[in-house]
This record gives sequence, C-alpha cells and structure tokens, in this order.
Amino acid sequence: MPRATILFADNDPDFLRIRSEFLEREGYRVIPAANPSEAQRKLEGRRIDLAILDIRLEDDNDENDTSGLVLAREVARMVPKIILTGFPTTWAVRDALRLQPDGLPAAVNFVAKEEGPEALLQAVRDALHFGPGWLRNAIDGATQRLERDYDDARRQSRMNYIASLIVAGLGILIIFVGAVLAISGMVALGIASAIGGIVTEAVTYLFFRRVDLANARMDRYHAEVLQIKRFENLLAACDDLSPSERREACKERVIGAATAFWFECPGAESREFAV
Amino acid sequence: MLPPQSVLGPYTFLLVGKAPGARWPVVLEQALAPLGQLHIVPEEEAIRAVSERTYDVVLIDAGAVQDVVRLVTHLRAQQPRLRIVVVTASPTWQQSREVFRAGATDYLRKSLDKKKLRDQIRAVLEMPPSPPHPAEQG
Repeated sequence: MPRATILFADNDPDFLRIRSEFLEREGYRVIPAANPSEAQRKLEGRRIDLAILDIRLEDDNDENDTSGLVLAREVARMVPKIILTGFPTTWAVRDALRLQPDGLPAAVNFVAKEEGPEALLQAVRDALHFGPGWLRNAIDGATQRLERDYDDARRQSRMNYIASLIVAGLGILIIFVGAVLAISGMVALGIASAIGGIVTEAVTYLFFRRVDLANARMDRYHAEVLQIKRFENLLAACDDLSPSERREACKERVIGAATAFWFECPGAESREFAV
Repeated sequence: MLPPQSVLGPYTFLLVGKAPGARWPVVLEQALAPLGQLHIVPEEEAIRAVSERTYDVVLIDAGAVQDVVRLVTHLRAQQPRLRIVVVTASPTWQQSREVFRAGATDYLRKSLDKKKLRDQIRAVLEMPPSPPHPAEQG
C-alpha cells in the first residue's frame, strides 16, 4: 500500500521539523509548508491525502490570525484536514468542525499542540481511514437527499393532478345534471346547477394552472441543484487522479463541459451534461 | 434564506434538560416564540420525544444532562438529519470538539439576550443537516 502524503503547515520551523520527523517515522510522507501561500500552492499542486494546518500560520502572536482555518475552509475542499493549534478555543473548534454551507466541515478533526504527538498521530490515522470516503459519502448523501425531495415533490404533484381531475369530472357531472334537469322542465334548477358546474370547472382550471406553474418551478430548481451536485461529484473524482497534470486537465474538462452546457444550451436544466 | 417550513408554518423546537427553577428555558421560550413552539423535556425523555415527532432543532442544555456527548450520539443515530445544538453556560474547547465529533450541528454559549438567541437559532435553521460523522459510517 503506498504511503499516505500529508501536507503539514506550521510557521514554527522547529515544531514543523520535529512533528514531520515523527510522522515520517510512523510511515507517512510529509510535505512541509511554512506559510499560507506555500500551503495553498502545495495543496492545489499535487495529490495530498491529508493536510494538517496550524491556525496561526502567519503570526503566532496575532490572535486574529486564522489563516489556517481560512485555508481549511476555502482550499482543496475534498482533502480532509486536521486543525492543529497551540491556542485552542471553543470558537476555533466551532469554526473548524461546524458544517459549512456546502455541507462539509472545514476540518475533520481538531488537535491542540499541548495534547502531544500521539494525539496528532491518532487524529491522522482516523482522518486517513475515514477521510476522503467520508467527504465523498457526504456529497453522495446530499445528492440522495435531493433526489428524495425531488421524488416527494413529484408525488405531491401527481396527487394534485389527480385531485384536479376528480374535481373537473365532478364539475362536468354537475353541468350534465343541470342540463338533464333543464330538459326535464326544472329550468331554473337546471341553470343554477349548470352555472355551479361551470364555476367549479373554472376554479379547478385556475387551481390546476397554479399547481402546474409551481411544479414547473420546483422541477427546474431540483434539476439545477442536481446538476450542481453532479458537477461537484465529477470534480471530486478528478481529485483522485494523479499526477497533478491529469487532475488539472480533468477539472478543466469538467468545468468547460459544465460551462458550455449551462450557459449555451437552452433548457439545459432538464438534461444532464456530458464530459 | 430559511428552509420552507417558515412559509408553511411555525418551527418546532425541543429543549432537553431543565434544571429546577432555571431562568434560561423561559428566556429561550420567549426568544423562540416568533419562530415557533418550544417543547421542554428532561434528559430521560429526549429519545422518546424525538422518535414521536419531528423537531426542526433540538437544543441540549449541557449543564442539565448527565452525558451530553452520549445523548448527542444517540439522537444523531436516531435522526441522522436532525439539527442538534448544544448550549452551555461554561463552554470548553474539549467539550465542543467532543460534541461536534458526536454529531452536533452547533455549540453555543448560553445567552440571556433574546435577539441574539433567536439569531443564533435562525443561523442553525439555515445550516445544512448534519451528515453522519466518519466514525458512524464504519
């Protein structure tokens, strides 16, 4: 089994060297980074299985420095990350482990430097064991939830359609009864019944139109969200390729195909784009 | 943008854990009144309450339950999409890590400021439902 590659970003060179050597002795390949820009370049430029990011990557004395957390949130979202810090706080944990709008947390674990190398090693083992699969599962789970919502909306739409048909049938029946009554000599009752039937039909038609428009809007919305999820899945699949040139070429192709599909094809939301 | 429940009807909230004579649940109830209805149950009734009806957010008062991490784990196992918020008067980074790892959606410090409380819960309602933690996926 190939050695896992870990990007380790910390602005303290001694700590970075000591912990990197420790992880290498445990069998991992460690790529060090001393600042946010170097970490970002390495995260985006090669295959990384796990990233360990110090929170204060620029200045240990600046309590407003959260550059490691920013990296975790914004760069290489499919790479699992461990936040490591010498200044653990409740709110740093919250920023690291709370779900982001895309449904994934910024990091899969949070370790304080004071907990020592063994705690970090355990976090690394956990993250590598569960990491990429978990992120992929989270995206798959989101797609499945969307598809379930979509099915629910379709089911409701069918029920509304059936209800409209029944009421429309009832309206026709009332009109028919009115006609029969009128022919039988009960003209006033017949006309009243027919008018009642026509009003029922009109109301049913208006209701049907509204339901139809709402369904069309719902269909468009779900189809668009599903396309976005498929796009994310394709990009995630690209992340598994190596070397980096293949990965970047794959991403370029996916983005190009999605862009062409969404912006150039009329009615694109109702079909699936192909790469 | 809040989830569609805000259009269809009020939200339902569950607070787990009520210390005798505590003032905070009353403040929370008043804070959440414009958003929906708050039900309060003791720790031992939490699992049953969640199995009997759907809540939009379950809040756990960490100071009024025996083992908050265990409770979060149980609730998460029972309702994978449930939004679970742990609220505490004395937050610690270790506890916040443990509850997030157990599947909590958020971890908040108790506040008596009703507007702040309401805004925090609104933010939770806008968050995506939690995916299961890696450890739960085997």
